[in-house]
Amino acid sequence: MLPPYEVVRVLDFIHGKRIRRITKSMESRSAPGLRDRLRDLIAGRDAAGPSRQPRVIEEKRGLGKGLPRSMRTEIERYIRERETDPEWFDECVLQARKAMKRMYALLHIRPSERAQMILFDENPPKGSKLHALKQIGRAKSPAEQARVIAEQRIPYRVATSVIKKMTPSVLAALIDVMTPQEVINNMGSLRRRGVFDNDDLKDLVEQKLAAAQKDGRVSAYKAKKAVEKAGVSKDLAGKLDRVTETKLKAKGEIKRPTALLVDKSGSMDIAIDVAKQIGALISSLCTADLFVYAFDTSAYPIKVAGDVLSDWEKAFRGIQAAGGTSCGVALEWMRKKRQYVEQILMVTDEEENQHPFFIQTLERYSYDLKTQPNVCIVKIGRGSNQIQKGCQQAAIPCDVFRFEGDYYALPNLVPLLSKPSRVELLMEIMEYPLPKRKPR
Amino acid sequence: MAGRTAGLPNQISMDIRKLIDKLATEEENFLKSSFLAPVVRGGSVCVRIQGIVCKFYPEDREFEGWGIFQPISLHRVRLQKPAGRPLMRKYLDQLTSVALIVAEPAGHPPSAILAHPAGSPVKFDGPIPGRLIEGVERFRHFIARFD
Repeated sequence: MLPPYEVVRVLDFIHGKRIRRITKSMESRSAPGLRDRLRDLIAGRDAAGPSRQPRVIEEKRGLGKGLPRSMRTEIERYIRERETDPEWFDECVLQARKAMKRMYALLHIRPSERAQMILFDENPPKGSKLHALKQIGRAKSPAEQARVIAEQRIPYRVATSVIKKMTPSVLAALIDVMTPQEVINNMGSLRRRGVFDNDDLKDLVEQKLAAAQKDGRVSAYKAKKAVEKAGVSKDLAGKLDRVTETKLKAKGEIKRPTALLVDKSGSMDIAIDVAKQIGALISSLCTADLFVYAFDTSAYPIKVAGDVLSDWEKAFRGIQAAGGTSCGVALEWMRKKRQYVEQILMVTDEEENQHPFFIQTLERYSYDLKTQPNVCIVKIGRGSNQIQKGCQQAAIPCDVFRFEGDYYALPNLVPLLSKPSRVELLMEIMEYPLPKRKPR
Repeated sequence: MAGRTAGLPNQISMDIRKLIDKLATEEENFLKSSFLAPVVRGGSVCVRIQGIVCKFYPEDREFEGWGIFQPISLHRVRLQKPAGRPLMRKYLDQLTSVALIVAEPAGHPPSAILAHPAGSPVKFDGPIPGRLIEGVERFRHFIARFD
């Protein structure tokens, strides 16, 4: 079920929205520079003239169409469902007040008495979370604020916007209401505030990290990034690593022998960096062989001592992005060495320009080793798609994972590698129950 | 129910209630105490209450140097008196010492570089801005403190 802000996004797209923008005032600068004065002189305008005044621009966005009746009915149901449960309604308003108001106003839905008090009269009923939020704003001491936050379970993101002073008691209350994911995301800030120098607060954080291992909404990779970026102590880094490990293991185990081929040709620095991250990610999940090669026009076998990022950094130390691209060269080497794999993960921009080419080599490899490996390309940049096309023409199963800078998306590769076939993955998606319309 | 987060209000555990009360008491005790801290003109002073770093602003925004401060609220502190050298030394002795070389004594702020970058307990790229430095000449070695 979509959260309110996403529902409003759909509404605004259909109905359309007017956005007013004020362009930057040129007058706010202390004095126009030589370039500005020359530009004005060429344009034949006065330096202090109307062109330097801030301007209001009105833009129309969206389709500008009337909303379908069925959509209005469904959104009214959406709202009424929340109105009948005061706590749920309060949570929705806390997270997305503006979106909730817009749904009522745009679709002319009459709010319930309670919704009217909360959203339009600014008078939330006593005992509600919204009332508690006002209490936090009016509280005289941080300790009082902390008690309200903890008692009313005000979400961290909302609570931080109203607190006046970050004292130890407030910090304790905030950590208590944080979700495990929020604790991981804010690890650096917690360290800077000295949370790990207080035993009680450190215990609270550790409890959250223990909960993170079971929480389905925790991103696998963020804990790993927190270890790298936040500079936490060794024991805490160990706990964060355990979170990553548990979350990744839950995504699947790679039981098939796998080859990781990394394009190190000119300007492929990103490919090398991504390969290190992927290597650290999948090596702990591999129960079968994992062969790692970097290639330009030659193949460079890579031996990794462990399965943590530092081991991969060490293994890739001598690998520099340079040379032409021959995507088949590493596979040719594997064919000669008779290294058997059932899937190939290749990090590349697919701009191959030297022999041996990938598709021909893959066909030779398949014939010699009596295997038909799946190919998964982690595509870097917006180069050609010649390998994808070649795979299609040769009827070789090929998946493409487009990497566009989001390292947190890398764990999504694991299901592609852990499933025996693409059909099985598709069946799993098809088995997922679709949301059903609730009876009136 | 889909889309709904768990957690009911008023279900505060006894542990967190006790912890908040304990920390609140420490905050109140802190308000009755005084402390020594360095401050630059218009800047703030940082104090650890139960290990947590808290920032305070001196009432006299023009004061610069080492002072003994008395908190008047959880936002502001009042200067009681400037601190003497023995107290300053006691304070500095608790921090990590690093050997530096003066690079730009007349700069705003004056800057220095690490004298022994290889064995230094702190890592810094480029010049290090210095505060509350007195009577130094270019290329002179001196000991600075980091927290």
